[in-house]
Amino acid sequence: MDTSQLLKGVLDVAVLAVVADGDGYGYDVLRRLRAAGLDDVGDASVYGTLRRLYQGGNLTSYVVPSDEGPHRKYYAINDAGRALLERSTKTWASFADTMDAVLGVVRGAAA
Amino acid sequence: MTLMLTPEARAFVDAVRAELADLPDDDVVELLEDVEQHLAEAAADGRLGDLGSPAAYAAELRAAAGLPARAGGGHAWAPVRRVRGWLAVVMSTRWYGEVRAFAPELRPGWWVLRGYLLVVALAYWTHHSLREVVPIPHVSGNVLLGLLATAGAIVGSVAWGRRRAAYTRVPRTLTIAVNVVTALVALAVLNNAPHRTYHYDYVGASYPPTGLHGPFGQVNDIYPYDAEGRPLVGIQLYDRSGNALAPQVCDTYCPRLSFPLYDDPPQPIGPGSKYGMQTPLEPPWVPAPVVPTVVPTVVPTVKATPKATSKPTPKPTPKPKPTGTPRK
Repeated sequence: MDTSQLLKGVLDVAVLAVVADGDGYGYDVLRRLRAAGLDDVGDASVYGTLRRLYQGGNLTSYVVPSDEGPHRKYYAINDAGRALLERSTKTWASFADTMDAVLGVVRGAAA
Repeated sequence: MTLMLTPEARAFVDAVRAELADLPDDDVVELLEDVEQHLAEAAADGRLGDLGSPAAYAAELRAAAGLPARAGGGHAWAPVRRVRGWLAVVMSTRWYGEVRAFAPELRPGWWVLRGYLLVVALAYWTHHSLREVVPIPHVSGNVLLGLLATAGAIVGSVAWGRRRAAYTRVPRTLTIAVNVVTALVALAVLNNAPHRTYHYDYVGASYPPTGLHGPFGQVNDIYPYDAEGRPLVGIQLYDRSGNALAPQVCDTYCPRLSFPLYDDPPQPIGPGSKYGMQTPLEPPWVPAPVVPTVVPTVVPTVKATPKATSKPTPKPTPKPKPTGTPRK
């Protein structure tokens, strides 16, 4: 199954969760998502999602000068973002339960 | 802000820029900031090869950012699409990437030049002669004002360029318009400027001699006088080949002479004179009478000839008296 299709639906909540865990710039968020196991996440998708969440008022941003390279635009979660994350987490949990149930039926039938 | 990127990364960014061209300027500028940051990080990470094609990257970025998919991709006028294709090919070449990576370093130079050229444009608008335009543009015909305006314009232009680089909020179209107008004016001035210098350059230039030659070199001006020293008007001069000598049209650009051309009325030149021509081919040349070197003494002899044909007794006495010295 192509996980990149699944990712499209849950990337928002995944990005929000990573940023809620700690402020990060685009490439940093990307790396943390991959490190968490989302290997198939697309670079441009992460950058685009960060921008959309920022424009939607769910993230704030600030620029940090860097010694070795370019200035980095960091994102931080705000109250609106935290509320969205909470709602999305509940939605995901109930959706995952539902899917587990559906798949459990199949697993049970197969067993 | 433009980052220093490797040529490959720069080419990728430019190709993505082309894919975003249908979006509003502000969106493009902000998206490209992110793209540049991303490409810099990915290049440092050795992951440029993982990014796929610029078109796919741009499509993914737009979708994730909640922007509409590329408009008119299939609807664009076929020639437009073809030109875009050529541009994409050019922009993906290595040399384009290198030039593009190097170009930002030239920007401060252009900002200075732009300030200067803006004042040149202003001076060109109101100039009386090109000397008031280049190299130092005058303002209201005043050098000092021109220098002050130039200094001010350069400072302003640099500030504008830096502001745009820092905040990217100055309307891009306005900057492009100013740049284009400035470049066009520069072209117009450069195109006109040589016309005035040619007049001076040719005098000293060593071209193979053509035309008339006197004892001091090539003859540049011909002032025909009759045997009595009166200027001849309404005549046409011909060279030895029978070609008409066109009078020089000298309305706007001829410099005023600061020295007199001749102290004395010029000597007639004819077949018999000291600096005479060889025999002309065609009749338009009316041979001058044989003349000695001092003009006024000739008068009696010249007038003696028509005596037989016209009036019976035109006396030589009413004529200016031969004094033996040339007229002033």
